[in-house]
Amino acid sequence: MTHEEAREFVAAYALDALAPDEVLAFEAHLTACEQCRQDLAELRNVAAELATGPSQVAPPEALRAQILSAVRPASARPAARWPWMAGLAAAAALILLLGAQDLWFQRRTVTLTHVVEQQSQLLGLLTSPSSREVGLAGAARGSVHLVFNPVTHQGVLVASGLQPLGPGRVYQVWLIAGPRPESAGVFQAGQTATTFVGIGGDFARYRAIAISVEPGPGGSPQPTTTPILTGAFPGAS
Amino acid sequence: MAGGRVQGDDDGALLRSVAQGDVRAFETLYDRYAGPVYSLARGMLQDAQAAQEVAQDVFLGIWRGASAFDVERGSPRSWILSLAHHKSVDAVRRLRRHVAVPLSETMTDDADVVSEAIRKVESARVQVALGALSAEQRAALVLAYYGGYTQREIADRTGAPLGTVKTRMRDGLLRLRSALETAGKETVP
Repeated sequence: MTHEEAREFVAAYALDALAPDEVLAFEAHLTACEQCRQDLAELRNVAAELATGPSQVAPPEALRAQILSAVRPASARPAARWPWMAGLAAAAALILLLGAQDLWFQRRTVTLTHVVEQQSQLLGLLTSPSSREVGLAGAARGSVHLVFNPVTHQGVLVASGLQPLGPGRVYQVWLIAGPRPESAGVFQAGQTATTFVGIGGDFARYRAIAISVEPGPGGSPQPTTTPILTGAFPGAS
Repeated sequence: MAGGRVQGDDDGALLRSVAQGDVRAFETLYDRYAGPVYSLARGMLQDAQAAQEVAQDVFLGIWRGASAFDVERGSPRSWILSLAHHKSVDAVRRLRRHVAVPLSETMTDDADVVSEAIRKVESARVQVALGALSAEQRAALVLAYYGGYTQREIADRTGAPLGTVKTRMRDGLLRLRSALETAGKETVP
């Protein structure tokens, strides 16, 4: 994205009016452009004034208790709940801090704005008591798990040990409810690092998750090869 | 905006304390912003339960992400309200995806969509400021901000070229800024 193109995106970004792919492209420019960051800070301050537009209603008292109990030390982050997750949260934090933004929340997934917010979202997801987990198994070697929150509809696929694919091929994630699998995004596996892929959706709808190898960079509308890994959602019959 | 508001500085200090894990500071911040955050989500989603979920998500986001706050990116207040808006837009879009009938069929008229979005505005100050914009700028801003539509969807809806929509958004925000400055600062945080 050129600076001129990016400049045209600043107002829409401040209004949260960009599509997820545009957000990623714009944020990539933003990290390198002081001028756009300043422009954004100003327009964002104006946009924030619109926040007070709707009629002001007091939130329920119960919400305060609920939120405060979630942050009090007594309910401090639980230890890793799944054996494969040991140490992963810290690693995830580090990886995301190092700017592995491209691995996060692509395509039809929810796009998050702030890098560190992304990191904390991931940590939150991995440690939240309401998160659920699905392990995937199949012909491929490697360890792949989906951690998802059925309430917030956020999820992350955590993949390690998957074989890196040659150019022109990608791993594609499918969520299966009816006869036609729904694409949940594509990703590349790194040589050594763990890959995190953001997956958004109403997980209660789905029976299963599957991964197949598809032509890159965009993947296929429907799977063209046999899935190498599959997993069933808890409660799916 | 450079207003030199004491409250703004105060919020910055609170956020720094929250970043250190200070629950007290977080409580103060909650009491200050829970109203505006919840009201924004409720106004956009028109659903109390969904608004509570968004508000929870926003405040946990503040708790976990306070260290990411960067004054270079705007005031603490606008950081919090942007986060609230961002989460509300996500929720609006999620709900919209799960509506069986495409919205384009339930909303027959573009004017309806705009007036539906504009009905969400109750603050006299914001109403007056929006009134200073051209109808096209106003439509672009309210569809984006309160309706949660993307610039491309707005172009499709209004039949205007994408480039025009982009210009309306920028010019609309700039005009809104001067209108708000004329209207003076609001007392709500």
